[in-house]
Amino acid sequence: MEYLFYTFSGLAILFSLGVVFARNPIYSGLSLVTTLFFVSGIFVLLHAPFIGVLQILVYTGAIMVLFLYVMMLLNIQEEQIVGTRKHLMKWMHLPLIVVIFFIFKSLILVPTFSDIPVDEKFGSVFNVGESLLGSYVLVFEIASIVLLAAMIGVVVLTKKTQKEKP
Amino acid sequence: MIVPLDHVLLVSFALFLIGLVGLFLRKDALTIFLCVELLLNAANVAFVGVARSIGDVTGHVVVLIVIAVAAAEAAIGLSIVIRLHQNKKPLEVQKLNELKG
Repeated sequence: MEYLFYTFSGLAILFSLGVVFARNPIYSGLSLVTTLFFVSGIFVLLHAPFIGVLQILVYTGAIMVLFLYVMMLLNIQEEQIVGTRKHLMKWMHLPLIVVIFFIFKSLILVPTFSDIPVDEKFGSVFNVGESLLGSYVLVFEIASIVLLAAMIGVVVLTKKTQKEKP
Repeated sequence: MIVPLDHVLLVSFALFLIGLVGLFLRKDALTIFLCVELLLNAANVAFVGVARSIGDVTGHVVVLIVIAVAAAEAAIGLSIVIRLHQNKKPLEVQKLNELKG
């Protein structure tokens, strides 16, 4: 079973490279859909079946379809978007990569993370739901308010203002 | 079947790095949003890995909240992109400098 994890990880990393280096944003979006599928596989292998299913349902099924829909709706000319930035900002990721690398190294060296064997019920709908609606019910409600605010924001943003009407 | 936590974190790190490089290299707003989704997913992988490792389901709750926030962020960002396109503005982030005082 362990080889599945490495297969999924390798494919996820491969397709995430496709997200960055594909010339057409549609291809980038489709690469990201594939990456999300493999990441969902990783979730299932890490004893998180509920999160894995939600990843496919919400991320791939809703968010990415929204992305692809907007990309196809806009019908962008290719010369408008292809290529990379010609700016000093382009090299700003190098110091960030160094900083994140050191954070990662310190995270690896933390000795408190020992692999505890978990039982079958860990990460199931019952288990996660009990936690989500039990001790974290306030966070859950705040998430719903965030989604409501986003919905109102989208309606306000995309509505035509009075003077734009023909 | 126990995958060591180090390898899970390594995968998360790799995904995060690729997303970060894309965030700084690409110039169109849509691909930058895609790279932000990649960053959020890298964080989710780390959360799920650590949750499995310490046997606590709180990490899964955090991932659910992250997914909700990602949905909100994608909806708002895409509506801004649509708005820019309606007003015949370029989608390159470097050219969107009207708010620069």
